[in-house]
Order: sequence, then structure tokens, then C-alpha cells
Amino acid sequence: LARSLAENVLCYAALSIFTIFSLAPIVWTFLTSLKTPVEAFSMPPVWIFAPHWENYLNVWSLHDFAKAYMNTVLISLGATALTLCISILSAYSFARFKFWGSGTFSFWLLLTRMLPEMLFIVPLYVLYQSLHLYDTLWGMVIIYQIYGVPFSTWILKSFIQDIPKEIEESGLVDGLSSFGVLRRITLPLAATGLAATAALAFISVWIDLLFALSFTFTDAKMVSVAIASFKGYAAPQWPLMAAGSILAILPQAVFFIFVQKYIVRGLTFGALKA
Amino acid sequence: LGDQLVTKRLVPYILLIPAIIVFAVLTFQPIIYGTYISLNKWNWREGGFNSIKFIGLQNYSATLGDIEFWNDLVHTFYFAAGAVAIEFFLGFGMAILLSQQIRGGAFFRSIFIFPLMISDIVASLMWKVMYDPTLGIINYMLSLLYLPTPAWLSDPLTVIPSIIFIDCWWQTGNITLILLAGLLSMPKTPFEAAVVDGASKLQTFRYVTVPIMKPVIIVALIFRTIDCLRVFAIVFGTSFGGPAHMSEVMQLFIYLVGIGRFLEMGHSAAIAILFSLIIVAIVLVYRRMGVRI
Repeated sequence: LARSLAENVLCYAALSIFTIFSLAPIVWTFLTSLKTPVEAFSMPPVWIFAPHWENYLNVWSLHDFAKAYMNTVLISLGATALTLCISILSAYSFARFKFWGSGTFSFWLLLTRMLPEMLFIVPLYVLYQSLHLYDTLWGMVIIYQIYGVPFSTWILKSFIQDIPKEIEESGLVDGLSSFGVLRRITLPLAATGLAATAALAFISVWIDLLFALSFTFTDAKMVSVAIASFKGYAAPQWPLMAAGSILAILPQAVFFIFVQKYIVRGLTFGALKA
Repeated sequence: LGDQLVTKRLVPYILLIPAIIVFAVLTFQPIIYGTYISLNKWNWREGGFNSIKFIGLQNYSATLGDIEFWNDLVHTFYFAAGAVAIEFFLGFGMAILLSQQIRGGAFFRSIFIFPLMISDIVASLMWKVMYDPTLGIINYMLSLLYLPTPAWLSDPLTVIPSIIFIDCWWQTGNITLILLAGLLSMPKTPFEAAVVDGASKLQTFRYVTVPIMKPVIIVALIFRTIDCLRVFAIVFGTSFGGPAHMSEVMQLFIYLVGIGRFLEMGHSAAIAILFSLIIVAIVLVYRRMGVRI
């Protein structure tokens, strides 16, 4: 279908405006992260300045930012690994078997995704205090399974369903057990899906604030809480705050190219494939 | 042979055991225990476990009679309705433009996705700096155009719209991506038929695109509506519910009553349960609209 020149111009104009809108806050934050305090809040804005990369070093050595960052790396990796181990099995079960109760249980997993965090946080806070899991790395790895398992189960289920059943049946004919088929045939074929699910699960832990705020204090403090503690900062501390923000989005920037192909599955719980 | 058949029927259940344990301990147990807590007067500060005292449904009646609860419910729905409406129209527009197979479409798509990858707390701090009434870039640019320069986050009138705007920046790409996936997977035949029948572009959109897209639209709206109702970090990072509770939302309210400030465990559990019932009701309404999700 041919488009007129005017239509083309309008189309690109709208897309360009939205592109600027999407990028401007990130660019502005990056610029702020390289400025001196005075440059950061001088209006009209300073566009040409000597970049102060030491802001990044300064925020890294600020209070326990570095510790919170490393904690978050460990907790995100640990929680993702545990989520995958559990979800591979449940996703395979939902994707390949018809059994009594499967519909009900998978709906419960979906409903969990919809429930507000605070419903779980208040009772688990009491439990965590009494079990001494409060403010521990293990406690955080466990807590993120609440949303991690339903999310990864549904996404992985959609990836496993993409694999033709006939390939697995040939494995059964060759004498493999159900678990053998899963390990030798299904998982290698779903490797990309597994990696995508892992990346999405990792990011969902990395960006969480509410659980981190509720269940950590000092020992297991996470980067989102460290970032949130910047919110009272006055204008002279904006460059530090901006540098911290940029550091906090580094993992997503690294995963971005790979993840963007699968993000629609993540957003729709595997209901839609892009 | 009989034994083998029984084992085979057990396989799906065996695979589910770890997930069932997680669900039982981390989802089901807190809901049951939280319901029990909600029936008690329990201030954690007054001696931890020993200060729990059964009071029946008093926490619920107190919550339903609390003007703050209703105010915060209104703020939450105001935020969600505003954010979902704007994100939907903007996102649908962008999805339609991107579905035209234009040059550079993949580039634009990547850019629109990027804000989705950023955490809400980082997004809120980025915007808080730009919203600053005297030193922020937004008011500077408005002053160049001789437009009014409100105190965005500390003015009761502008605070929720300002937060809605942050959410639109953050999540419009979400709707764009879902609807784009739907648009690109539509069958060709109905459109060819529409062309043959001489339908205008607008008619084609109204009578062909929208009906075909309905299930996808509902999926996008379900997830976005629920996530907007659960809003926490954007408010926490910008206005913190202020000024004078004018932008306090439900999850922030529950957090502050509970572990965030007052440590009233029973009261906050009761509010959390009431709020969860509202969310479940909305999920069921969407489900009734005919989408199997």
C-alpha cells in the first residue's frame, strides 16, 4: 500500500517526537552524572563541560553503595538460578501433560502475579524475623521466588510449547524416560528460551524496590534501596545521584540487545509471542 | 505394565513438587497467616510476638471507616485510570506507526523499549531532578515559552498528573510492544476484503482492526491496569505520598501502616487483604470479557 509523502512525514515526525521523549531523561541523567554540582543545576543548562568521571568513583565509595550493588548481583543471580531450577520442571509439566488440577494451579500462579506485594510482605516479615532470615542474602533469594516462579513457569511453558512434540516422542521411542527426554532433548532445544527467561527473571529481581525495602536493613541491603535513599538529596548532590542511577541500569543495558526480542513474552506472561 | 502406567500418570505431579512447595510456603501460607494477623491488634513495636491480641473484625471495620483508606483508594484509581488511558492511546498510536513496515522501524522499536528496562525507582529519581520547581530543566524550558511553572510534585493539583506522566514515560513501550505483536500477527484476508468493499482507512480500523485485536488489547490492559494499581516505587521516590497525603497510594499506605512506619501488623494486613480482594475482582471482570489468560 503506497503512502503519500505527507503521511510519511507525519509518521516520522510522531516517531521522532516519541524517540526524543523516551531518550531525553536518560541522556539528561547521563550528562548530569558527569557534571560538577554547580553545572548540574545551572539554568540555562551547561552543554559543554569537562566530564567528571570521578562522580562514578565517588558514588561507588559512598556509604555502602558498593556493598549494596554486589549484594544485588549475588541475590539476583541466586534467585534466578533457583527460579529456573523450579520453573523448568513445572513449565515442562504444564506444557506437555494433561492432568487433573493443571488448569487450577496454573491460574493460581497467574493470579499470584497480579496480587499486591504487601499482601505477602506483612506476614512474611513476621516469619522472617522469627526464622532469622530478615536481612540475609538467602532470605532475599527465597523471597523473590514468590513472583519469580509463576513468571518463569509461564514464560518457559510458552517456549517449550514452541518445540514440536514429535521430536520428544522420538526420544521416548528410543527408550528415554520422561526426565531423560526433558534433559537430553527439550532443554537443549529450549536453550535460547531458557537464557531469555533467565535474563528477564534477573532483571525483575534487580529492579525490585518493595521487597528489598521491607526485608533488608544493612547486611543484605540492595541497590534499589541505596538509590531510593538518594531521594532526599539536594541539588548539589545531583551528579552523585545521577551516577548511581546510571550504574543501577548497567545490567539492563548489557542484556538489552538480547532481551528485547523476548520482552513481549515477559510482558504478557507468555500469552503473546513477538 | 499397570505399575508403569501409574508411574507415568504421576510424572506431571512429581515435576510440580518444587513449585507447589514454593506456592504453599510463600504464597498460600502468607495469605492464611495474614488473614489470621488481620483479626488481631498487633503492634510489633510493643514487644514483638507477645503483643498480639484477638479483636475479631475490628481492623476491617476501622479500615472501612477510615477516610484515609478511601482517599488513597481514589488516588490509586485516579493514577491507574490516567496512566492506563494515556499509555493505551499513545501506545496504540505508536504500534500502528511501527506496524507500517517503515524504514528504521526496528531502531524506533528498540528505543521505545528501553525505558521498560529501567527500574521504577531510578525512573522516579531521574524525573524528580527534572521536575524541580526552580532548578529543574522542565520549568526552565516552560519559562522560555512564558508558560506557568508549577511546583509539580509539591502542588496537590499537579502531583498525581506528574506521577502519571512519569509512568507514561516508563511504560508506554509496554503497550506499544504488545499491540505491535498483535498487529503484525493479524490475518491478511479481512483487510483485503475491506479494500474490495471500498472501506475507508478509518472504517477498516474501526470494523476490522479493533475487533480482531480485541483479545490482545484486553491482555495488554489487564497487565497494565493491575500493575498501575500496585504502584509503589514511583510515588515512594518522588512525592512520598505528599503533599499532605494528597498522592498517597494503596501500597504505600499499607507499607506505612505496617512495617514502614507504624508497625501495626494487624491493621496493615487487613488493608492488604481488602485491596487484594479489589484486585482479584478486577482480574475476574477482565476474565469475563472472554480472554483465556
